[in-house]
Amino acid sequence: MMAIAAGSGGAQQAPKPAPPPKPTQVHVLVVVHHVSKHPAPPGPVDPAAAKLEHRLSQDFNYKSARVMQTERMTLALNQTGSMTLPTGRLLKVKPRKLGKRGLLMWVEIEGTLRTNLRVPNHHQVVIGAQNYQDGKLVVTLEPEYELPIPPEVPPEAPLVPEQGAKIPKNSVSP
Amino acid sequence: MRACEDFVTDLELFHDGELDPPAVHRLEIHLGHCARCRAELEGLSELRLELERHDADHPHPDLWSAIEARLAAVDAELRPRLPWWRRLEFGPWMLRPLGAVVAFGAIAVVAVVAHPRAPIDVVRSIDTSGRPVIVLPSTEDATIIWVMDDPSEDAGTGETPSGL
Repeated sequence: MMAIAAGSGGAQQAPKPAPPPKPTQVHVLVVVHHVSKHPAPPGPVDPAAAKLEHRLSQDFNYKSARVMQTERMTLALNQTGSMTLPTGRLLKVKPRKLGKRGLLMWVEIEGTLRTNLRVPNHHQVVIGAQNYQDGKLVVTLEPEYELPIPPEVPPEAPLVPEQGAKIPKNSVSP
Repeated sequence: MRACEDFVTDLELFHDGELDPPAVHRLEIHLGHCARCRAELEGLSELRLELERHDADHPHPDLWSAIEARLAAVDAELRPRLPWWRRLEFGPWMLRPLGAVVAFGAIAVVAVVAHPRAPIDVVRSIDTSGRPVIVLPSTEDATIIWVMDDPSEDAGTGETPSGL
């Protein structure tokens, strides 16, 4: 018993318990655009709309885009965020799990689609969803997250004794 | 038919080879007696194959024509800038050894300079209740999912595939 007291006492302070892990939160930037086959009227262009406009003009015939709604959802895993689209339909977003290759995320646009996505950080998902006015509603989703940091492992006593150190005999009492 | 709520996420991670071993064991036991989850897993595999097949072989006609037009434009722009050695016509007999040398050089350059990344596989499953949908292959920074609305549901602005 003496050996135990000598080995574990005094010189080394007891390691502090690891702080409880913070609940994983992700941010999802949701932007709702209206895209049209008509060119945009002259005037200032929202940078977010310009980016989409450029993207869609490459592969689709849409000529203009304007931002209608923007929302930055902050969600815990398995928490559902929702917003109402200009069509009156509901958009639901549910981050489900963070993996090595991205955020596993469930998205529903009421009456139009349900999809499971695995989205890398800051990767933009563009969903052309519903007809609206003379064009179409396009929802872009962009997750932003930090991978959870594994809890710190408390420092342990070295398994191999230093050279010259005396190894106590009968250090463990029966 | 939908997978059991408790295993939906695990099925996708399993399909991607990212599920932890204990969870794999748990899922395998579950799959042994749950036809719905087996069907879901098969569906995930089929979807991936389907997306790959359509991406590779059947691009949308209008999309393909847009791509062709862009390729032609790029080609026309680059042609005058071709270096002299690219304009030379070599016979196949010369191309083989030359190709080997060029390939080795290209591999070395790509390995050092390009840092190629794995292709991004964003869409895991999608249900549009029968509506036609196009999923464009993901680029580094974006994935496009395009759902065509049913023309009967709107008032004259109906979208057809030719609207793309």
